Amino acid sequence: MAYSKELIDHYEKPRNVGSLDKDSEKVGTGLVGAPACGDVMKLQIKVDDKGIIEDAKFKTFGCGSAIASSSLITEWVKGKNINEANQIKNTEIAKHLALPPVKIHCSVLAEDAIKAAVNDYKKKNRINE
Amino acid sequence: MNPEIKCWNCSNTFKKFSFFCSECNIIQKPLDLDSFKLFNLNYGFSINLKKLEYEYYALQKMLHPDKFINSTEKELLYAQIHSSNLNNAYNTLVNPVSRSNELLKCKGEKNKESETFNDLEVLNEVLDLQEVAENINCQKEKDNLINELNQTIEEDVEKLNNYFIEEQLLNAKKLTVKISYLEKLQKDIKNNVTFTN
Repeated sequence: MAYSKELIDHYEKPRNVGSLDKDSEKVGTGLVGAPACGDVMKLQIKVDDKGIIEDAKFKTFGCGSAIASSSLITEWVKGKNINEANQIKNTEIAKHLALPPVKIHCSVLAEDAIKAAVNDYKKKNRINE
Repeated sequence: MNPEIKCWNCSNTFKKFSFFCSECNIIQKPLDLDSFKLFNLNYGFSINLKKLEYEYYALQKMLHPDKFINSTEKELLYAQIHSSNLNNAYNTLVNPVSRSNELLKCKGEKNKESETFNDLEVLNEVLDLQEVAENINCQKEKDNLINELNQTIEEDVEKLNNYFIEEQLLNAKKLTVKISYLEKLQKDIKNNVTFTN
């Protein structure tokens, strides 16, 4: 089974690896895990006053597909409104990276991570749904 | 209530599964049993591993397919299935994580491994340890972390046992996930996977 060019590219040169200040009011942190493969994914977003994501960072311990999924989603959410970012579906990630069926849950994890990050940001800033 | 089981050969009936008929001594049809039932164990986390190992070898000795080479095809097939089931069940019971997951399943609290896990306390602890592992740069640090993980796993398995005794199944579920993470991390460190960063 061969992995796609996009996936390998994100795996070998992951974008936006790192951390943001989790205590900042402007930063939302999402932390999720996939016990089946021992993956842990931390995804952080920095949001400006207008609700636009100006920066995103991630740190993922896991397989190549999990790393590529989180790298890709940090690229996608930058410049987006938090509500838009919340709409990203795992199927879009899976399609873009051509994830094999056994790795679909890695894209689910990335979707759940961004949702958790947006949620954390909203909670910090008392923004209701 | 257990339905009655009937021997396919002599029609003798018995209440509890047995590998051989008590009347005609013929190998019985395999049933779909959980690992505890297969070894005739109570549903509990604490098991005597020495005894289990002994029992496992004793059963495998009686049920090894080679012993049924001159039997009917049906008996040989039954022996093959029993033997394979015993292997799986033994491996499930030996490891604390898989034993716990099996027990949770039997108690109707199956850990859904495909679902996203989001207990922040556990994940933060695992993440911290992964970051420590990532920054290892000598053998001594590696040994120290492996020892530390060993100790944590040991303590957590003890705690897990108490959760099962007290029937705190949700806590047991969470702790099982944590231990599975620690085991994975320990394996990665041993295989130097975490050095590659």
